[in-house]
Amino acid sequence: MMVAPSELTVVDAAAAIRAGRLSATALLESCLDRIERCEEQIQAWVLIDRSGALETARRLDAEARQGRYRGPLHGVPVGVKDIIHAAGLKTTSGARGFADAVPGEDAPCVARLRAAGAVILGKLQTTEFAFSDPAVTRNPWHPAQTPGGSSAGSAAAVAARMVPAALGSQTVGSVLRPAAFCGVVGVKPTYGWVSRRGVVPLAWSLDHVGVFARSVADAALVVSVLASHDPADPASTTLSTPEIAAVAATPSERAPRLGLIGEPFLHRATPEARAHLDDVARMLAARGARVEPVRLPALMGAMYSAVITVSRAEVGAIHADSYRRHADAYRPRIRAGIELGQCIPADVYLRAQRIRRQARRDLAPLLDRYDALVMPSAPGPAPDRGTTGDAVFNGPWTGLGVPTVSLPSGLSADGLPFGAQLIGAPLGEARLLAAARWVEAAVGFTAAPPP
Amino acid sequence: MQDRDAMRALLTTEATRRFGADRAAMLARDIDALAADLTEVAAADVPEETEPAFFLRTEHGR
Repeated sequence: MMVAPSELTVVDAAAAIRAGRLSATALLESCLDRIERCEEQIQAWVLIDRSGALETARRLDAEARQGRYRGPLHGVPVGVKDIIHAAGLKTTSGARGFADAVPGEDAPCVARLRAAGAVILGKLQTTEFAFSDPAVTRNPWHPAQTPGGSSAGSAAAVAARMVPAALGSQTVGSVLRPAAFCGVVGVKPTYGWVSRRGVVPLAWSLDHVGVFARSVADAALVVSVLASHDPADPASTTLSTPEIAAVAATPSERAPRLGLIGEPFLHRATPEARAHLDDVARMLAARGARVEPVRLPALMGAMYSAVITVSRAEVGAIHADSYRRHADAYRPRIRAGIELGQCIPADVYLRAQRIRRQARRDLAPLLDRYDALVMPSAPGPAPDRGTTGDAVFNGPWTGLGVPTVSLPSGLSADGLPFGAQLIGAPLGEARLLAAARWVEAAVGFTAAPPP
Repeated sequence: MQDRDAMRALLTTEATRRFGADRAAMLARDIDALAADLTEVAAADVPEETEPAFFLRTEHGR
């Protein structure tokens, strides 16, 4: 039976377009058909730019017929979380109208996708301002469960085969957690590796742009396109960024050295999630990986609290003016977050920032020693839709600014995905993603949500 | 170093000053949760010479 183009990975779709076996228009129409069938139930999209995307796809097809290809994503549709600006498409930030804006230009991350040949298909649901009030989106694996947040639509759309890749963002756990809950790959690169300009901020010193896809190779390819120094983003790194396109092109043959994390995290995981991690670790070791338990520096025990402190204080500051005008328009959780963020004493905020710096120094030898540290991406599978789930397993790594990957590692007894989280050294994307490719192949997860 | 009760009281006082007593009462559960995090931060052992992280771009090495 022929596979629908919407089922293709980014790498396979891009290769098929380049080889002339598939047109960008046919791929886009297949994604639109899939959206037509699934969107009423899943509600992943805020806006679908059908006409703009079709026009772009036809233009890209014309260029391909002349042998011209813009880049490695030529003709590949990509969705964009609705806190990220795409020229001419309304950004709502998941809010109830009071923050709507129609940007005149793309965020640099979107501009880089377009320059690489991607077709921007539309804007994806987010929790309000990427905080924790649940979005309307449902988990494609089970409609009663959350897809996670804040990048709810990005994870759900990729899982449901509506689009092969999507941009999201992570301030605490907003890429890794929804990726795990929806059974797809999520990558959060090193802090400062992808420009945050044109992305509605939640917390300046924690905001990262990330990627959702259905394979590590796909995510690596998209992340490689996004990386560049942006002098207009004060967090953008001036240090040389790793070349990871090769990771997308070549499977990793070398079995990685993996550090298995226990406490101070695993006591928060469900028994089933802990048993699943043990099974995965045993299987990886049996396949040749060197898997060793690691002890984290003591300060890591305070990192999640440090990240909550910083994120609350910064969201309180970022929204201070808007709050004075629209306090009643905010949803309950972000409203409380803004209010209490404004109550945090300066000395505690600064201490939290000092914890982040010191923990990063303390952890550096461990990150050098291993290709990746490994732990669950979340304490358990997706909970119900009254919450976006717990980011306690992701926040500490976001606070360190190190790159992280979530890849699907199996299903719970209830048929919901588990995610394995891999953590690398700052700017160690190439090494981390190579290890993730090896783990992905060893795990061999092939399940998909119900059609 | 402050304990959780002291941190809760500090947050409640500030929330009352900024948003009124009724709103501060509505925030009681959130205040309690945040007080736990702030207490954890206040109690963490950080060397005196460690400066705040803010933006990390200059020290992707160490």
